[in-house]
Amino acid sequence: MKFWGTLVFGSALAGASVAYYVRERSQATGQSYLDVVLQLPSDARRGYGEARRRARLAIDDGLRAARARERQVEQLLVVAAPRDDDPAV
Amino acid sequence: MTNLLLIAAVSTPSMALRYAAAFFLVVVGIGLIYALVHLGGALGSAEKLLTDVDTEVVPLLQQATETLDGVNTELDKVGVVMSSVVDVTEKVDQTTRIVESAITVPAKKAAAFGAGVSQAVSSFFNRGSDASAPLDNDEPSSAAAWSSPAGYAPGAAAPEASGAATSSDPATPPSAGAPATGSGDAPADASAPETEEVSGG
Repeated sequence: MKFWGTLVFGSALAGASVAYYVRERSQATGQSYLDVVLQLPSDARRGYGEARRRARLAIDDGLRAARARERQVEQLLVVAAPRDDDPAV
Repeated sequence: MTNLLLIAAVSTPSMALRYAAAFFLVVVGIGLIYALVHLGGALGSAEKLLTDVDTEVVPLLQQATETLDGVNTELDKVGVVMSSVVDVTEKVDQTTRIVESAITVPAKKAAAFGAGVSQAVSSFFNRGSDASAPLDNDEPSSAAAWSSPAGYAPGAAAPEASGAATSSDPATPPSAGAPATGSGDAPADASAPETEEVSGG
């Protein structure tokens, strides 16, 4: 019963999402609902590819930012560390 | 009579000399007695001084010896304490180094992870249609935000600028330069499925 309930709820949610998307897309482009529905697979593939591309570039940017931040923290630690020739030590 | 005259003749200067000698001896004796009396007094004073020194300095020396023994004992204790302090200082230094290494490395990694995730998220959501241009680490792109699929448009420069990164991508939008909204991109979007299917097929 729980499985079927989840399935029905998920189906209803997915259907509502698709319906909302179709309506918004139709209003934005002036196409009919049928045309928008027919374009759904290509839109999905396009969105998936764009998301992959963005994710790959975002990961590269994140790695560069992480390395830069690590170097910055290392420099801060080196500057903040007491030296042996410091008279206050 | 002759003897008396002889004696008188002989003894007159002799007696004078004898008297002079006796007088000299008496004077010398008196001087010696005076000097000896003074010397005796001085020696008595010296003896008294030495007696006083003997009676007073010896206890002082004994007290000084006891004090020095106590000071030596305390210095030994201070030495032990100082060695303990040195040991504690070394342990504190080692502990500080361990704690420092245990804190700084995770903190550094956490800072790097946070910066990386922040930059990645910012880059993912802020990268607009000109996403092929790499972002600067310090200045996230302020390009058009990622829109919902309903408002998704291929954008003006993304297909051209994406280059090799998107050339093999089957999701490359064919309608480059088409506006995001409006009825003008309807034919381009309408032709997308065929193009996608051909390129993907």
